[in-house]
Amino acid sequence: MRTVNETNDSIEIRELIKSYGNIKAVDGLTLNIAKGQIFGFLGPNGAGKTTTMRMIAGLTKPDSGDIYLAGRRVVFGGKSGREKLGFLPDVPECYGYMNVREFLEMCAMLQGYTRAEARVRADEMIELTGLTGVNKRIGAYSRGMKQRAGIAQALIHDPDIVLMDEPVSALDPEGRYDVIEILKKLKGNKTVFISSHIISDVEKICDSVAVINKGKLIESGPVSAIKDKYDNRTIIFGLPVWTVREKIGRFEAMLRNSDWCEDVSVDQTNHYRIKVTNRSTAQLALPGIFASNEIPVEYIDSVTTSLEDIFLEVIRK
Amino acid sequence: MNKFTILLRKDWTESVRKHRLMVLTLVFLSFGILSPVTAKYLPEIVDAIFKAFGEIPDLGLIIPKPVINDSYVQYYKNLTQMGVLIQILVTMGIVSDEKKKGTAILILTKSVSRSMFIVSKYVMSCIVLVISMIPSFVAFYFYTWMLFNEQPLNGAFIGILVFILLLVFIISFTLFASTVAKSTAISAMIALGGYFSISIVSALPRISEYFPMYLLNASFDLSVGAGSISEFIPVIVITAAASVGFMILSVASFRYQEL
Repeated sequence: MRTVNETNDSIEIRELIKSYGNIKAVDGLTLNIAKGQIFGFLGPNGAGKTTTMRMIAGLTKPDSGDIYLAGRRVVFGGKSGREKLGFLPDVPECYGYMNVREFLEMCAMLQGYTRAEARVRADEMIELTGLTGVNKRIGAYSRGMKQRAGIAQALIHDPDIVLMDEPVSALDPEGRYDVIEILKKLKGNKTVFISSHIISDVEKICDSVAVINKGKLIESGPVSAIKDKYDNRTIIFGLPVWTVREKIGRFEAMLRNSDWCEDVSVDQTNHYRIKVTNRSTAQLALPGIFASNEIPVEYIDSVTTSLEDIFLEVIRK
Repeated sequence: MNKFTILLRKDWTESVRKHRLMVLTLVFLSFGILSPVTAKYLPEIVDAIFKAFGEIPDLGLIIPKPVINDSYVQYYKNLTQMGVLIQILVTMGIVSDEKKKGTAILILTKSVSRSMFIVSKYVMSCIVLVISMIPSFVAFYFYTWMLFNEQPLNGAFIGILVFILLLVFIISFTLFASTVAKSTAISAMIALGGYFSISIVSALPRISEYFPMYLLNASFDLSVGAGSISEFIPVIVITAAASVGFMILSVASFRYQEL
């Protein structure tokens, strides 16, 4: 078994399998995550995200398969591959009897920092996560503040790879915004592997995503490529209700005869929804068709497919 | 500061701020103060109660005059009955709580080995035990001397060390229960069940002197000068080995647990 893997990928997962009784929590998962990427790991509840995260962190033992972090094989219960890893669990519980500074200093010293260095790092992380001036013990923190403390401990040793299990799920909108801003700052410097239910947030910050369901990988790749693949190529437009019927008839006939038009649907108030083979070709041709039929247009827009739409589509397959 | 020292410091802070040290110290201290006082004045108290009811004229015939050994009897009886139980109660959650709450995960995803995590808890529990026993023994020694006008024998110190060894065994056994259990409630069941089982087995004739609970007899005998340390070497060695054994089992069990 190789313990070192020469690769440009920060995280490499190969044929990972984990079962609990008869249930396969993770079923043959293979993923490669390049250095400096922010990678979104999506899936419904019980899809196997947390189990995968814990296997990457060396906390849960895979039935089979390999995980490499920066080329070093992760060994269950061991320290190999973990030196450069920061981990935020789904429900981060820090020591409630400590204040955040004590806790972060301890975490930093456990990663090899001297006391003086640990103080500096703790201050930096407190500022980064917006916990400045909070002097009470962590036990008295709200869920959102605990999440911030959890993020701070995950980043305390300036890790190359950061695993974050649902980093924004417990936060209010302001907290979510703050965390997303923190994650944006990490972009390019660190490899960040995030699982989340809040797909609109993932879409804002992630370079690539993977979608798993029932332990199996359903889709993965750069966000732009996935959006292209699942783009529904739909254009919507509206015509005035007083438009002469004959003109509309000629217009629709021209639309249906165009080789780039796959489908046309319209409601009683002249709101059209057309599916096209190629969005650019349609966008170029449509103004000519409106003009040749002397039809004014009230509005025209292309429907963009959100990552959330794609997520729902792929997990329902 | 090396990583083990950092973990020890963390476990020390936990013992202080979660009041484990205070609870143990106060409970043991109360035994150290109350045992000699009870031994000395119990006959007088009982006598006064009966006289208040005007029934029995002379209790001196029933309750003999207290002697210094009564103080030892009271002290070790209290330590055995309540002290062991309190020790189990304060130790039973030290690993299971961290597993259940998830705090262990944050430590173990740093560059910390699982064995270091467990050994630190074991060592700190022993340190807390020793620290909490000091005021108790000093109080016991002082009050026994004052109340009975007789300095306790040198064996008293050896006796308490032997009793501390018994509590160290209780710690390692409870640590093991806390490590294998998924919750503190299950840990408590295992630890208390184990303690009562060992107590019952230890009462069996012939084999009793090879079980850790026999250290209670050893503590008392050594304290009152009724025996020498050499008589108790086998049970001392067995208990020390069992303590280390349960600590090693805890480490081995924790190493293979999924968190």
